[in-house]
Amino acid sequence: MKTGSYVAAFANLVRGAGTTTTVLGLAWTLGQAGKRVCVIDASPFRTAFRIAAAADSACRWPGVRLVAPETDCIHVRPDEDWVLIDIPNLCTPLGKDLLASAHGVVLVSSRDIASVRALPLAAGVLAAVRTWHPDLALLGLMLSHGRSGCREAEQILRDAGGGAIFSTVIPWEAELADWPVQQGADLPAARQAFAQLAAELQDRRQQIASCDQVPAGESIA
Amino acid sequence: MKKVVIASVAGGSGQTTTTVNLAAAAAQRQRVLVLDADPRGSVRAVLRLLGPPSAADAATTGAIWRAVRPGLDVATPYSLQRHDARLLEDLFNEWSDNGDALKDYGLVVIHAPEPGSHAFAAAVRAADELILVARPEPMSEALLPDVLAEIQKETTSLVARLAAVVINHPTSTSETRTTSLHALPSDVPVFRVPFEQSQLEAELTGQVLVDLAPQSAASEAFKTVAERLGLAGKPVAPSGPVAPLGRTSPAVQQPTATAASPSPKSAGPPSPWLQFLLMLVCAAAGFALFWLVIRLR
Repeated sequence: MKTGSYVAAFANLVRGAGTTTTVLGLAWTLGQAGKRVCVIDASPFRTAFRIAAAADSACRWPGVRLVAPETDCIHVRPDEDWVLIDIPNLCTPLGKDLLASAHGVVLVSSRDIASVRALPLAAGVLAAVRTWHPDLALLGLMLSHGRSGCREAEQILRDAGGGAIFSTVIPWEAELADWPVQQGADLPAARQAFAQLAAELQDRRQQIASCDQVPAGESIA
Repeated sequence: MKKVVIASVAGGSGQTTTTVNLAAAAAQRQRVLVLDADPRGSVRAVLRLLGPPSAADAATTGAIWRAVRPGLDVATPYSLQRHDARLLEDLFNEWSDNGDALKDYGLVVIHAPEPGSHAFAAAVRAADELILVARPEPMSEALLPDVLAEIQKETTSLVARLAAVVINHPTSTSETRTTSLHALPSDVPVFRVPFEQSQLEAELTGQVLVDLAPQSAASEAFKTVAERLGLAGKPVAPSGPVAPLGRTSPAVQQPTATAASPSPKSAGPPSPWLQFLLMLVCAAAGFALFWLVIRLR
């Protein structure tokens, strides 16, 4: 097993899939479990800061450090177990740069038709990034309940993703949509689901580190 | 020929749905071009334009799909491999250099890229009018001031450029949620589009809701928005007031009540000017009556 920090990038196929919610839910959960986590917020309007930071733009969650790529020079501290990068758009130059700085990438997807049709584009971007960063691993595809799920779309995604699909589906709860209202508040709902997701993520990281190759999901990227 | 850019405040607001439905509603009386300026090609994805366009139609920059539905063409400046902002800027330069580039169209609807990018700024600069799409959720409300500031940077007058805000209700349950858009200039009309179950089928089959379920409340709402904003071409007969007149509207208090009545954000009594004018008219009428009575004697 690799020691030191692991840089996991989170990117969505279509905007509004819940990437920021997922990253922050995982960061909060890992922090509560005693891990040290650095969250990099690459969104233009600092979406993660709006949720996780208190009024003075500092994050008070135990074990979680929140940084923005443009304002802070990002030095991953050696004691940090996880670096989670919230990439709002993997098509932008910044998105590609951040992907290239990660060990692994998680795609976050709504279960809708638009996401299914956006899959080839994401695969193209990952393939392009891999030409200069061949070690970038696909940690998997996380499905989110989203606002409007569609059974047909979910089936297509599951067929395409195979073993790359995380078995826990990111839940959609009204409390999560209201999360930005209370700045710096704890994860308000779905704590069990995020604990399962964190465990799955941990497993995949170890799996990839131990066999040093992409175990599943080669069909996607 | 008018160019309208459709931008969204936060992800998942229904930006693409709004774009294709307004364009389809507008295409009933004129030819409309939808420019998919989203690097991820969301319009193409929703309309199932996944294959390459026919070779004859391949433009110098990007690609164009003709007659996707009657009167509607879809174009993109990007390719599967390349989706940088420069391609979009090149296309806009081509449009402004070549006056004939858009001569076939009565309206151009631009699906904006994500706010906060170079491509977004280029799209705002290129358009005559802007329609913002938001969803009734805290993140939309929280991001609105920043997105408005982003637009303001590219325009001389935000009020002149911002034509309307469309609020899409993503599920039937969220319709009860009220949206407070404090950052919005008070005279920008706000339209609400209710949740529509057939939207899923529309996405699955690559159709547009106003074609698939023309009688649905959501379709009616999109048609009303197109009509009120003058996107639907020359109206056959002038019907009713086009501009939002009343300062108070029931739609503000009850978002579920009316699907798409323009509801100015701030509700209050008529402006002092209007009151003054009304008083003046009353006084003049009274005086005229008095004068008439005197003369008739």
